[in-house]
Amino acid sequence: MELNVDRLTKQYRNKIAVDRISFSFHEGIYGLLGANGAGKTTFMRMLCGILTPTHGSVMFDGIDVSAEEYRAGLGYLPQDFGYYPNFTGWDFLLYMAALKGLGRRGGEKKAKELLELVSLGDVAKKKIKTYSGGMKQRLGIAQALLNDPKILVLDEPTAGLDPKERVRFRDLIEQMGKDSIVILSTHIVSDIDKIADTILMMRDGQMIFTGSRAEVPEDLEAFYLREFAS
Amino acid sequence: MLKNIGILFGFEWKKIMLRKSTWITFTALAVFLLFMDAAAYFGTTYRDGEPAETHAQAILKDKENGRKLSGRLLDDTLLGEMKAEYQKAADSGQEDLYLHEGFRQYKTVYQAIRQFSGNRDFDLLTINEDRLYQTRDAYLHRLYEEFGLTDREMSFWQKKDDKIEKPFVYQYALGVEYLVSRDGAYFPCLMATFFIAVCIGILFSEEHVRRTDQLVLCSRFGRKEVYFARMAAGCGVSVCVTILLAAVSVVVNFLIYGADGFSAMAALYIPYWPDTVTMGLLLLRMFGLLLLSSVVTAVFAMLLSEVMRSSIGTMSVVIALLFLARLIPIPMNMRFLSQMWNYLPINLLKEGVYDLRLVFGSLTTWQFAPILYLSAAVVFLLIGKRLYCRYQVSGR
Repeated sequence: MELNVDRLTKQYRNKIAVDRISFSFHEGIYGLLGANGAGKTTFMRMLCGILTPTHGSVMFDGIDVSAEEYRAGLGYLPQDFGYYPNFTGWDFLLYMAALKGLGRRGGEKKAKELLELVSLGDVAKKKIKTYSGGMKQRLGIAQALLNDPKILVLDEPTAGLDPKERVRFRDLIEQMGKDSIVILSTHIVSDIDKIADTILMMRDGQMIFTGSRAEVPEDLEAFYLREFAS
Repeated sequence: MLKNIGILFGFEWKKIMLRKSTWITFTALAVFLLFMDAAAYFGTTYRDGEPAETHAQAILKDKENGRKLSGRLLDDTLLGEMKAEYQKAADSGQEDLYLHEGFRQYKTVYQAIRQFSGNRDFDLLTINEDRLYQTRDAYLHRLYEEFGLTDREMSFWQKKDDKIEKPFVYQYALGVEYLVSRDGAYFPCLMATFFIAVCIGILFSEEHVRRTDQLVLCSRFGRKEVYFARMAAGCGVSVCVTILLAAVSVVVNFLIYGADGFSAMAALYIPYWPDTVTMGLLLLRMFGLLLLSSVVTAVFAMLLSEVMRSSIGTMSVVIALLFLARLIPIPMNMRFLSQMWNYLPINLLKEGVYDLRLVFGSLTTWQFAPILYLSAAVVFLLIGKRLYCRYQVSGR
């Protein structure tokens, strides 16, 4: 399983948001760190095929990012994730399951399972507009997992989660990382400190550091601050 | 693919139905339409400051009188009876000739044949069977000139007119007449367009505004399949709403004027359209066009919604176009422009459908409008698909 990013570039009129990033992702958890405006979200959007690169390519086992087959194995939780306020949590997951091609029965089974997993089973039939921020975030996580994705892209996934939920979320991601490529972007270092196998750091659209967790010589937070200060 | 579109269609439909604005807009428009259609039923006629009869009583009386005369030939015999009663009414010195009970019996027939002259210079006392149909011919020829028809077009219509059997058979058909020639399809079209502007024109823009687009676009069926499902749901809801609005108009008009006259010859009530069709067939065609117009309007509104990514913007453009279409008259001598302008749904269902100018030398408005609307819908659909699939989530 290989997600290959080759000289990926996104250039806007007078700004290079992502600058010639090349990297190969394999099964495991990748923690993407970077300050606001570093280009993390742009990079992730290109990995998800919702933003076309100016140059470069994204391929998963030889399948181009623009192909339906690529999207079939993708799970994505955007930073600013939207929802349908009049849908219930249950409706929303069934709709997302239909979009992911799970079929009616498969979708219902998976939606039920995930709603329990993210502790929304008891409010599944309530409208999303009545949910708290944390509940919506958990629903977003659930939708990203619906199709048992081979590539899971999570942009600031822990925003709005309370400490207990964060721990549960980390456990869940750890499980996912065994068989999938999980790319998790955040600027909260503690979110990835314990679970990331590989640390990626971005600044001004460039990947300034890539290395396994073991390669990070000291405590991650201090290393992160030092890298960004330099 | 169809199965997936089918499943997604259900969800897209649900999204529209769960919105309060859908129900509020529909209810408001249906009630408004109901009052507009039923307005003729309410009110009272006054004579010398005293209430003489209510509109409801007058309509009922005319309906009964009209039904009694149904099936009679519009020939010298009937015209003679009418003339005699007309003369008596005129001699009685009453200002309103319909107050004379004898002439009142022929009111619906008189109103129908007055239209043979285009409602001008019609003197019943000098009319006989031959002159009645000559008057109609003269009116048609006047229209040929007004429309600037070519010789070929005139000959086309003349041949059609020759096939209409004369003398005409009178049949009471006021309910159907209101629907096919007096805004019976125009008002539902107007209301449906408002509905589409408010409730359907937001389907694509709302996804961008709510930021659900990124979840949808990166999912397996989030491009082609969801696009077609959403378009189908938008069109489906628009068609259903149009049917319901049309049903309001039909039911109200039939309740007031009666559901008689489906087999009446259209030439009797629509003398400016020389064709052998019946009123029933014309009604079916009219509502067929109404439904097609709602499909093309819905697809156009959804395309705009994807282009503008703003609900208010889409709504404003659709409503502005609606008003412009009605307010800007294009002179008949600018044939191509005025003819195309006439094919805008709101114009076509007003009176444009009876435009005698042909397209490609042989297609009448009834034949060309469905082709045009379906082609336009397909073109809008394909442009929209291209834009939707190429959409880039950026800059938030």
